[in-house]
Amino acid sequence: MSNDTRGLLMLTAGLALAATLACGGSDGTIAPTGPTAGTLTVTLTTPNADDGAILLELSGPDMTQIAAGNASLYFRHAQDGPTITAVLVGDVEGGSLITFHVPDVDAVSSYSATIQQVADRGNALRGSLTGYSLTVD
Amino acid sequence: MPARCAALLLVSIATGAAGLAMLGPGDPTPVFVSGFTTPCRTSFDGEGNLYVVDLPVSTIYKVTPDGSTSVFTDQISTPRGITFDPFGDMLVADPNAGTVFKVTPQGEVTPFLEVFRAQRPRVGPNGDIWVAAVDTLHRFDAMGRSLEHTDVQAQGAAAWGLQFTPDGILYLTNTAAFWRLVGQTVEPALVGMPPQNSAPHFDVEGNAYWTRQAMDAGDTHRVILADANLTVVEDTFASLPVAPCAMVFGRDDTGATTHRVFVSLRDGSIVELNATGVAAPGVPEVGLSLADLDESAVADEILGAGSQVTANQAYFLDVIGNDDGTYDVGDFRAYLVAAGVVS
Repeated sequence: MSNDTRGLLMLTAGLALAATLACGGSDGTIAPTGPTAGTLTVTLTTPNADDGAILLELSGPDMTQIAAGNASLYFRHAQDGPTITAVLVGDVEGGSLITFHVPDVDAVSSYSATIQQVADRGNALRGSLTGYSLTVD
Repeated sequence: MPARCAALLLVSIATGAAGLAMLGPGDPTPVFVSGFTTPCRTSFDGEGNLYVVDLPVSTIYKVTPDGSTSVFTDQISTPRGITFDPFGDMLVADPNAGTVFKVTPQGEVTPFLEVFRAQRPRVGPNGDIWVAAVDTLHRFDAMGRSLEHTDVQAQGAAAWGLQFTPDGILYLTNTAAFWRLVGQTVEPALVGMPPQNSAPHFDVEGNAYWTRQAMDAGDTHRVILADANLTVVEDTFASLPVAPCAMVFGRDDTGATTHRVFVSLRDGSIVELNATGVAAPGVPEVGLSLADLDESAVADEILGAGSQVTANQAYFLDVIGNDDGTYDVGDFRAYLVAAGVVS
């Protein structure tokens, strides 16, 4: 092996070693990346100031720790696999309605929420849901 | 044995035998409470308290389970039939005022329904309120909205008393006949009886109990027992020492109707029948009450987690809510407010 070849090999090995040390642990191994568990929120947008009750459906995988996002509201839910039906009653306002835990917050696009019914504070059912929306983020 | 003593002995035996022959399954009938004038309308609330309308003094008394008596209200000029509505308030018919009043547990009196010659209110299995008004029968929903009225006089009947069977069939009565309501048609059920009968009170097995005041010499004031076909099975279920004028099945402190039956007498006392002789507890006088509803079941129904409420309950929930014909989230809100869960 010529001196040039030997030098090139040594340079390559050194560069590889440096890359390994930069990317790995102190023992030289490479740490894997993966999903980040965390909490997502269902947020309400409403055109009205006198909402009194809302019935909604939330869909997505592996949802746990479902809780009211507003502790002043009566909250109850039922879960059937990837579908949660929830009802909130009280002085309902725009903002956080529900929080829930997921195994991968980066998969937020896997979750969706839809409004089923809304009633005002006089118990009348809203005839139109125009202007209402739910977002999950 | 001297002849005179023998005669006395025979008379005693005969009297005793006659007395024993008069005893029925509902005997004896000890006095539960006394001191009224004419306690001829009675009802129990959901906590087991007895309420008594003393007619001549136009006063409604409250009698606790231990027999303590106090004035509940004397603010209604001519109180007659009383019952309790689905929300725990008393309904009082006043025929002279043409009004059914609502009285809160605190004794606050307000006009509720306008009914000419109102005699007797009753709450049906779906919470609707029926009012007997002699020639007419009226139906209102639990919120007091008028739904229909039936001219019973035109059908040869009269509506002084009202009672429901366990199957939800409404009986209307006068002192000599019982009719049943089928749709808006009044059908004879038991007619041509001797007069002075109370309305039948049904137990949950369909047996009917009613009182009859003796009209002829040798007759007996008594309680009669009939089966679900109104065939008399005990013509003297219980003997009464004085003419009766009302009867009611008791309720315990949970509001459940019991085997205990109380009969008002015209000497101002109220006696209790022998409960061991009563086959089954009475049909609930209040056909549907808010307290009967289970919050979890009502919530699960709105969440679609199975069918958790009956059709009658769903109807009632819609009535107390937005009354749009179906049970929805607005009705659920109304229920939570009525139940005190949400303000």
